[in-house]
This record gives sequence, structure tokens and C-alpha cells, in this order.
Amino acid sequence: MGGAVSGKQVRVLDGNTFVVSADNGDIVSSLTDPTGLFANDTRFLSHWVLTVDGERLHSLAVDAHEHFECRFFLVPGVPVQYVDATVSVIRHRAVSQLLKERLTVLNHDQKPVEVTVRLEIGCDFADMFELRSTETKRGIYDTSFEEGQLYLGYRRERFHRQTVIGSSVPTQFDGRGLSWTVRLGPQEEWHTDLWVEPTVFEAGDRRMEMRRASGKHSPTTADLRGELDEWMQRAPRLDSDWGTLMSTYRRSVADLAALRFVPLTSPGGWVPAAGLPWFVSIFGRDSILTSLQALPFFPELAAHTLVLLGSLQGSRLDDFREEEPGKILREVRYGESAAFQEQPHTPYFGSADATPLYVVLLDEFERWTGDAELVGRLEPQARAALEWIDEYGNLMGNGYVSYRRRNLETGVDNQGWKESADAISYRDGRIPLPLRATCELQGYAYDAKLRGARLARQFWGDPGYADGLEDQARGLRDRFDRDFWIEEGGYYALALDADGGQVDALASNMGHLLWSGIAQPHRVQQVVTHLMGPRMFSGWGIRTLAVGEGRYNPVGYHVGTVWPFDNSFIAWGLRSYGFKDEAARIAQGMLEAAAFFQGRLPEAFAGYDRELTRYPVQYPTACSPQAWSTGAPLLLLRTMLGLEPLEDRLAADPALPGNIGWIGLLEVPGRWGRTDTFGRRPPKEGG
Amino acid sequence: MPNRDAVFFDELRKCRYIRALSTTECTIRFDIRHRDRTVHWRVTVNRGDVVVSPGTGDADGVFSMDELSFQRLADGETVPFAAFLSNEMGVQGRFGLLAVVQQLFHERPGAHHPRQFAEHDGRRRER
Repeated sequence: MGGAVSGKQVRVLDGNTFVVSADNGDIVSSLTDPTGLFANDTRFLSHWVLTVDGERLHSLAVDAHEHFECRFFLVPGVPVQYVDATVSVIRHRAVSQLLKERLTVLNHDQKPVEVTVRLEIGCDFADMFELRSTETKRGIYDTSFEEGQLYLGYRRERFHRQTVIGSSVPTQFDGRGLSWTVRLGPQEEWHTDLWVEPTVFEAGDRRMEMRRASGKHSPTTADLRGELDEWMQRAPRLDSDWGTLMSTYRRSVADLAALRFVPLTSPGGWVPAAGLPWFVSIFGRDSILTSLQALPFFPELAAHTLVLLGSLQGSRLDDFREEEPGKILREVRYGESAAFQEQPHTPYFGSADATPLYVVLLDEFERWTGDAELVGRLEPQARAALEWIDEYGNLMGNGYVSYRRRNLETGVDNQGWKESADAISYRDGRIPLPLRATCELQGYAYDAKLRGARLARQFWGDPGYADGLEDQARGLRDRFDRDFWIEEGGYYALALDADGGQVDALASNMGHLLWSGIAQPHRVQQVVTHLMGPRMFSGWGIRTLAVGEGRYNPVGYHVGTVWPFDNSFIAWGLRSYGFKDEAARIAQGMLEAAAFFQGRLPEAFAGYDRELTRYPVQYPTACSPQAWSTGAPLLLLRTMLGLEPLEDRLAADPALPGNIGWIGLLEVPGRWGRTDTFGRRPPKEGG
Repeated sequence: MPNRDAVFFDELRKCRYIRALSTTECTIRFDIRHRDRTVHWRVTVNRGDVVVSPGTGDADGVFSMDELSFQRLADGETVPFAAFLSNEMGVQGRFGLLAVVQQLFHERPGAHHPRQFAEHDGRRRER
């Protein structure tokens, strides 16, 4: 399975163009339902319903082999006890920059038949942000049918979007759809090829050329297969005695290919879209964390991310966009609401973690690749990011990175990765005042300072700056331990509130203090006891919020669910403090969960005890595929194998979970060229 | 009274160095349509050094708009990115230069330093 079949939805995608439909291929959308053909944050088809002689079609099977194509096998009507159709239909759908669909009608009868095949078509040109609110459109729609093609358009002032629809078999438009009269002899078949092109017009009403992440401008399905094969070939080769690991790895590598896109405003390379269907765009945090996860596999992803985010780094103050000099963006969008400044996404900077994480990624990228040139080229961006931490991130003047939105209408409440309004709470469930310093932000700032110091000393020729950063990091670590550690609980506070008091809920955020290195070694055993204890570890992974906390809810987006990306970073951090077995336990739980999703870990799943459900229940509106969930198995592989760049070679220190006998990861790219690495579980003592 | 764009480019000429562009080398041309004529300005960025000159000439990217749209950019009421998406501003040449142009304009009117906002305005307006 390559295209995603989620519930009764089928998703087919190529970068930021994607289709979400029912399992019969139909699109019937409402303002609140994310089904349709989407590109650049706009819905280009909202109604696409196929009938044969007036009857809707029923799905017998869906073959979604690769991410960019799928086939729907259909019969007219609703089968009651058995299917006795004399006519059946195959819809073969492929997505690149346009949607292509071959409709094939087959007559299984011994007699000739005549049927009317009809496709009802509509488009609301909804902006992604209108799908969840019911604000009415302010522009004007127009429809025309010229030279065999249907043109559906939407204009608001000079903003212009258009959907162009054509068919290889001539047809007529009757105001609501296209239809064909099909006459078939016994056992004959008929087909027509349809195309649907989402068109963006730039100033002067010129059609804008869209760029793709790889290959041709208008690829055929064979081209798309070739591109995917080439991508798969470039990935390190994985061998293992555990089939689930192999299939999950293949799925992750293929999904990373599926999510690649070249943003309209990119200076060059591609980045991954953050997640289908809600977040198919550039997200600073998601791109950085996915790049970190994928470093041992696709280091170019980090390079593209660093260059793109660096080029869009904040340079001025803007309350609406929450921009400050040196800040790394949260999100870019290309839809109508961004164009008319009804939403702040041009770009929106409301995230407090992306900026320190930018420096972390730059350093980690150099450690793996030895690309000193990029580190030199991005020195101004990295310095500006480091200065942002102290000047603009330090809102309370107490030396901690904190956040508080200035865009009170459309800004994000919480500006760490747990963004929902109820994500940061005290144990008793109270929500602190808006000015908050969450713990993981301090870890990222600490790590950024130390890594920035290494870059300054080794590459920027500025040992004085490096010394200063190291001093600041040491001071931060000491203060952090004093202010965040909850002595009676034996864990780090989730955040400090506006008065410097501890926001004391037990949450997975403290897991990020391990990979950032800010946790004091003598505290870590207690932290690990919490993370791996029954209140936090569900059996699949670590919950975002511990059972028993005031706001705990096993199906609450950031208050009880289990996030694969979160777990991958926590496992990585556990290894760095020597907790190999615990890291392996998380890796095993996550990968076993992946098996239930055909290797594709969703954004999040419910925090129910594994013993209770024995099945990882997907969060109701979870994105899938999602970039950092796709990256999670990659970082877990690195963690299980204990891979670390050590000067010009790749060091390995494997610690595999009990269900894996051996792993071989071959041709791992890095500053050593390409090298092979192996891990084997030692035989049991006495066995 | 000089045009709004003349005032803007005069200020840009005086600033001479923009750190955010210290690794950028490019020439950008602005074509601004006034009622009776189109005015051209060239901005050459050489590793952060900014040289401004009036007139036409080759450029890596050409950004064209009417006088009113330019004024909105110069006043910080919108940003080049949004002006591009709404087709108020046309871009020819390297699209990636939009990120460079974004750095040339002023901050939004009434913008706060986040610390100042947190200390005063924020606490008052949203608790």
C-alpha cells in the first residue's frame, strides 16, 4: 500500500498536490470535510461524483500501490447479498501536478449494453483555513466550457485560481457535469482519460509554472515510478530478521519521497510537506525535526531545510506575523487567506522552538556530512538565531526562552510543539497565564548554545564567542535545574509560568531534556522511572501527558495521546544518557504499532494501555502520512544501532530490542562516504 | 514633494548594509507604475552591502507593482510575500528572491518587542 487508505478515505499525493476521496473515488465535500483535490493550500475540486445510469458506484476493492496512484474497482449500486453486476468500472487515478484519471467501463454480459456514464463536478476553491470555519467566500466564481475543456474559476481582486478539466473522449458540459453515452458489445470495454489541472495565476494573469521536487515538469505515471525507484535506490539498504522493521523502513523511505515538494518561493531545493491533509506546507519545526531524524539516510534534506528556512529568517518586528529578527518561521501558506492577510502565514513565525533547533540541526548536519562550506555560508543566520534566544526569546528577562502570542486573533496559543490551547497545564488541570516557558525550550536553547560554540570555534574562527556561549550554557543548565526540578515529584516541571512558578504537570516534554543534554546526570534515573512507568508508558510508547494528571485524556491531541515522533526523540535521548534497554523498548513498541498501520505511523494514536486495546487506536483526525512520523522509524534505527559520527568514521554501539536478532544498515552516507553498519543482539546469558 | 518610493529608496540607500543579506549576491529591480509613467529602481546586494540606483538594467529578479501597492509595502501594511500571493506584485526571474525583497521593507506599524508586549500590553489585553 502506497497511497493511504485511512478509514474509508483514500489519499493520493505528490508533494503538495493531493487528493482525498471516498473509497469509491468520489469526492463529496463540505466546508468542514478535508476531501477534494488540493494544491497550494487551495481546494481545486470539491465535488467529483461518478454515476452509471444514474447510480452511484460501490467499491469492491482499492489498490493503492504507490503514493501517487491508486485504482478503484467499482460496481453500480449497493450490493445487497451478492454482486451481480453486468457492468463494472475501474478508476485509475494518478497525481503529479495534475490529477489524471482513466475511467474504464467493462461489459461482462453476453449482450451489448448502452449506459450513461456521468461525472458531476464542482469546485469551491476553499482555502485550507476555511475548511474548519464557515466564513463565506468573498470572490466571484465563473464557469466556461471551451474546445472540449471545462474551466472552473475563482477571482477575488487580482487573486485568480482555476481548475481545467478535459477528457480524451469528447463530451459536453450540461451545467453540472460531463457525460458520455457508452455502447459496449459483449465483453467489450471503453475508457476515457480525464485530466484535472489546478492552475495558479500570477500577476498579469499569467499561469504560474509549478516546480516539482525531482524530474520532469509533467511526468507520466512511468516517470513517477522511475523517480520513486531512483529515490529508493539511494536510501541505505536495510536487512534484518524482523520483517516488520523492513516493511516499516520501506514505507518511511517511500513516504518521505511522497511528501517532497518545492515551495513556490524556495531558493532551490525541496523540503517535506509536514503532513496530510492539514499541514501540506512548509513548517519550520517539522522540517527541522524530520531532517534530524533522516540525517543518517538523506542528509540533503537537512541542507535544503537549512537553506530554505535561513532565507526566510525573520528580520523585523511584526506582531501580526509574530516576527522578530533572527527568528525561524513556523509556517508558510499560499492560499487566499494568506494572500489577503486574513491569516498571518506569509510567513508566520509563532513558534519558540524552531530557532534554537535551527542551530542544533546545522551543527548535527556538519557532524554527519563534514559540509563546512554550508556552515560557513549560514554563519549569519546561525548567529542571528543564537542572538534571538537571548534578545527576543527571553521574554521574562529571566534567561529562559518563553512565548506569549502577540497576534491575539489568529496567532497560536502555545508555541512549542504541543500547540493546542490545553496542552500546558498544572497537575490540577488549571491553565497558566499566556506567558509560558516550557521545559523543552530550555533544553533546545542549551543545546543550541553548546553546538553554536563548537561551530564558532571550529568554523567561524571566533573562540571568544564560543567561550561566551559555553558560559551561558553552563549558567542556563544550573539555573534550569534549580528552577524546573520538582523535588517531591522527582521530575522536571512542564513549564514556568508568568510569575516564575512551576507548571507541574508530568508530561513527555521532559523527555526532550535528554537528547538536548540539559538534564543533570544525577536526575536522569528518576526522570526515566517516570517516562517508563505505567502512568506515562502505554506499552506502545510514552504518552504526551501522564495518566492521573488533571487534563489527561487518552484521545486528547496533546494531553494523553502517544506521538511517534516524540517517542523517537525521547528514545534517542535515553541512549545518550546510557539507558539503552529503555530506548530499545520504545523502539520496539513504536515499530510494533507501525505494523498495524502497514508501516505508516500516524501523527498520533490514543494513549490507552496496550493491555486494554491490544491495538494502537489512531487519533481521530491524525495526519497521515506525516513527515516526522515518517522520520520516527529512521531515528529509531539510528538509536537502536547507536550510530554516532566520530570524526571521520561512523561509530556504532547496537542495543537491539528482544524481538530483533540482527540489523544491517548498508551504505550509510556521511563524511566517510558510504559505510555499512551491523547490530546483533548478544546471546542470552547461559543460553 | 518626492514620491513615496523615492523616499523609501533614499532611506534604503542610506542604510547601506543589511546583515540578514550578508551571504546574498543579487540585483533586484523594482518597476513601479505611477499614473503617467513607470519608475525603475535597482537594488544590488553584495554580501549585505546594498547599493541603490534609479533606472532600468538587467536584474536577477524584477518586482513590479502600482504606486499604491508599493506604498503599502513601504509603510509595512503588507509584506512582499502576501503582495505576491494576492497578485498585487508581479515577480519575474528568480522567485527565491522574494525572500530577499521581504528583508528590505520596514516593520509593521505598531509592532512590539515581544518582551515589551509581554510586560505591558499583553497582560492588560489577555489574561
